[in-house]
Amino acid sequence: MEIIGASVIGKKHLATNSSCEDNCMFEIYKNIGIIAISDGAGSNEYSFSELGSLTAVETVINEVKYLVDRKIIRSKKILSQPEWEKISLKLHKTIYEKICEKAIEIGTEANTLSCTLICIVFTKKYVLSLNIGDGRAGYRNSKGNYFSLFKPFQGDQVGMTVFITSKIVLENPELYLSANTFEDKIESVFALSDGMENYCWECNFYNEEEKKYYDPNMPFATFFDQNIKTLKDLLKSKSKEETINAWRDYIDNGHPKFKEEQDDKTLVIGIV
Amino acid sequence: MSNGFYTEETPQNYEQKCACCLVLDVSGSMSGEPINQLNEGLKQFLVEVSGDETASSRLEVQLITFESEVTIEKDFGLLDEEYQMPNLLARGTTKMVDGLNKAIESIEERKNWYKETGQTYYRPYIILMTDGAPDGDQNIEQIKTAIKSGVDDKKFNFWAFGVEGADMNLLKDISHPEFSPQKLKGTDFVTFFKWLSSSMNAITNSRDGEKIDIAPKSEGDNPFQITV
Repeated sequence: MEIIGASVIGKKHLATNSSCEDNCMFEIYKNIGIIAISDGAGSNEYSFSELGSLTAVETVINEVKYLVDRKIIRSKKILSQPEWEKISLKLHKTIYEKICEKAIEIGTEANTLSCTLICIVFTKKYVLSLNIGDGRAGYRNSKGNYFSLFKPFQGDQVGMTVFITSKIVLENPELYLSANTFEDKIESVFALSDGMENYCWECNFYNEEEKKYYDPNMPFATFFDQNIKTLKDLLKSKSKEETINAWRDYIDNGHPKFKEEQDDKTLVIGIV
Repeated sequence: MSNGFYTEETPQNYEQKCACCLVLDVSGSMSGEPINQLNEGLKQFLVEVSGDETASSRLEVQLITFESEVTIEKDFGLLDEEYQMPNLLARGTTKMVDGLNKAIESIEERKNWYKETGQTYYRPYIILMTDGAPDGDQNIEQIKTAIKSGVDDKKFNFWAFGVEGADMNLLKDISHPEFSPQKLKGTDFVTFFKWLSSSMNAITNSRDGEKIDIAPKSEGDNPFQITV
């Protein structure tokens, strides 16, 4: 098992000397892969969102490791859907409390640290996913079939979503947290922020018959097929650090469209 | 260096749209050089937007003019190679509030169409350009309330611009505090529309509704009497 990923700053934040508001962390702990990515809310109203996204990914990784230590999450046995939902609600509460602590430390409101969250826990037998906000995540099974892990929460207007700190999420977490379990022969998993979705996800198609646009919400197979193969090859000849650096360069400017993307970009791939 | 990573085509995702309604004063006081400059400016706007790959596939522009009547000169459409700017004529009085109400109504209809067809969209823009004061029968308080609630409720953004002769105090009164009205240098509509296209290109190239830097890049690009 291996996990490769990176977050890179978008063109807009570069132009305004701002920091990258995306953060990601990943770790293989006792044969269990853990991926966390978070996208800071951006704009003046959420001026510390990069700190929020960092706090979110650090906290969720530590909390999942704690659950592994307590054998609540096990590599060989998938949690039931209700169990994972219950754990996800607790994870959200803990992350929110950490964000509030950070906000108090720096003398601001928790809302200024607003950010989304995707957490994936995976082994060769299952995937658990937790999502609050937008972004995408999916997996490929041993037959080469692709699946998405959740439907992102998006409003009518571009960029509208919910955050860990959103009032509606805090009041009705069961409505806005998406916690899912998948039992399958897992070959790879992937999680991305919305800055990457136009390039590797089928998300805005048009149905000629119905004259309507729709979101297939499916990984773009040709993109992942080649990149997973390339990552496997690179990991044979390069160190993990070198492979991560190559991946960071790739999502920064390895495709003509990546270079022009205004938003921060995160893409993490776990290979079983 | 691709290092063997994927560099071919991306998924065939359609672009998300940004509706922009230009509400233009073509009352009699715009006769002569001002209306000629306005027509030139609109042509420049078309050139600049159609030259930007992303903006030309995302920005849907509607042209509304007002004089004694309100006219939809062009309904919402992408500024692509086939788009033709109309040649505007100056005449009549200044039914500015009627023009703005028509714009708010049109934006609402467009948003409903986006929703019905399953499209997410950027927050729409209403852009007012005037050289005078509205007719005496125009209900200023009503439009002021409509603009304030529309912007506060994130239904649309509203930008107002005046040229020589415009009642800037009134424009300030009806504008939302988030964007103060600006006064153009003379009737330099060409520089104004270059700036507007550049701003719209930045907006439609963004993703998440963050504040965009729309300040002119140099004094030569600045169409306003004071810096934005």
